[in-house]
Amino acid sequence: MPTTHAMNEVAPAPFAPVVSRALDGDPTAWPELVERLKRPAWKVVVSFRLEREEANDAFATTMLRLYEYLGKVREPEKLPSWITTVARNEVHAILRARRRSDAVAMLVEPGAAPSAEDEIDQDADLRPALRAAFEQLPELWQRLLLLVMTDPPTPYAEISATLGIPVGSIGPTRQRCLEHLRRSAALAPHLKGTVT
Amino acid sequence: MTDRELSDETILRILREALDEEPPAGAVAVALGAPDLVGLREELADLEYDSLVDDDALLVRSGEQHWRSASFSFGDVTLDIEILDDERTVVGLLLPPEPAEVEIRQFDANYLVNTDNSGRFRCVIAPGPVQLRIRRQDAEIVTAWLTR
Repeated sequence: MPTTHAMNEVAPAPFAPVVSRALDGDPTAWPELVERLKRPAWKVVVSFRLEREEANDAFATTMLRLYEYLGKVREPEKLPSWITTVARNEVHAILRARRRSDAVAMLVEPGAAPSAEDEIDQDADLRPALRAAFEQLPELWQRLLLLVMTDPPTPYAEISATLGIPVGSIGPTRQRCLEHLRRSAALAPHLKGTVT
Repeated sequence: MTDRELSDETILRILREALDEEPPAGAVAVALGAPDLVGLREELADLEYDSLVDDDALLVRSGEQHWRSASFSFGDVTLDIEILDDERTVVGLLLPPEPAEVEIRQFDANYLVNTDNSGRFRCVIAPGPVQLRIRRQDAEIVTAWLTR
């Protein structure tokens, strides 16, 4: 049983009324569906090792599929599980397009990655701050950080080939990225001086 | 409250968790744009075949099939498309053949081509999801968004 549900004993609001409102043209309903379903969809997408653009595309097309099929949804309360199936299909489409024969091996088993909910509470306000700081980094730095953060770590030779930068500059660039994050306005309020 | 020192490893760990927790703002913005991107659901063609769904995605290995193919129907009209990965090319066939303008939409770009006398069309596109809008004399056929 997921620990998150133990903390929240209030039954989730039903999906059926929101779906009906969306089909009736209520402009507030679709953003509400996106808000409620974006995390389960994203959770599936990030459980695979995709490039950032690919992950974004898989997420976006998953949500577009939801919109396309909204009029055919028979059991709205099953949308959270439906969206995870769609997300998995979209990821498979991308992996197949890349002709990665090791597509299955690319799957990070669900639950294998450290879950945010399992961490001690002191990280809770750091996560949004770090996310904001990360989004401010140059695109190339973002992609490099995403590659060095994988588990197991991406070999430097592969990072070099993917990003088109020399192997020798990966380590120093990684350090520059981390320093940038530490000094960013978003993170500064949470930190006590600079660690080297 | 969290006045603390963070090692490189701790920063990377928390960042990984942060990025896994929420989709990026740009991707959410695309999702929120669905009403414009998809258009009217009534105009959507029925998806009759999709290599992604109808073939076993986990069993098809490199060397067997490298493209996404799909067939749509709208009334008496059928539309077959293939998205060739290597050439970044969309190839399509509209049957019965008729003159039509084909708009190939992506998140950041649109392409326009015309069907030939046999109902065929071909267009080189950028990486990323696509949607096709076939403008016929008296009606428009719109496909679902396809990942390629």
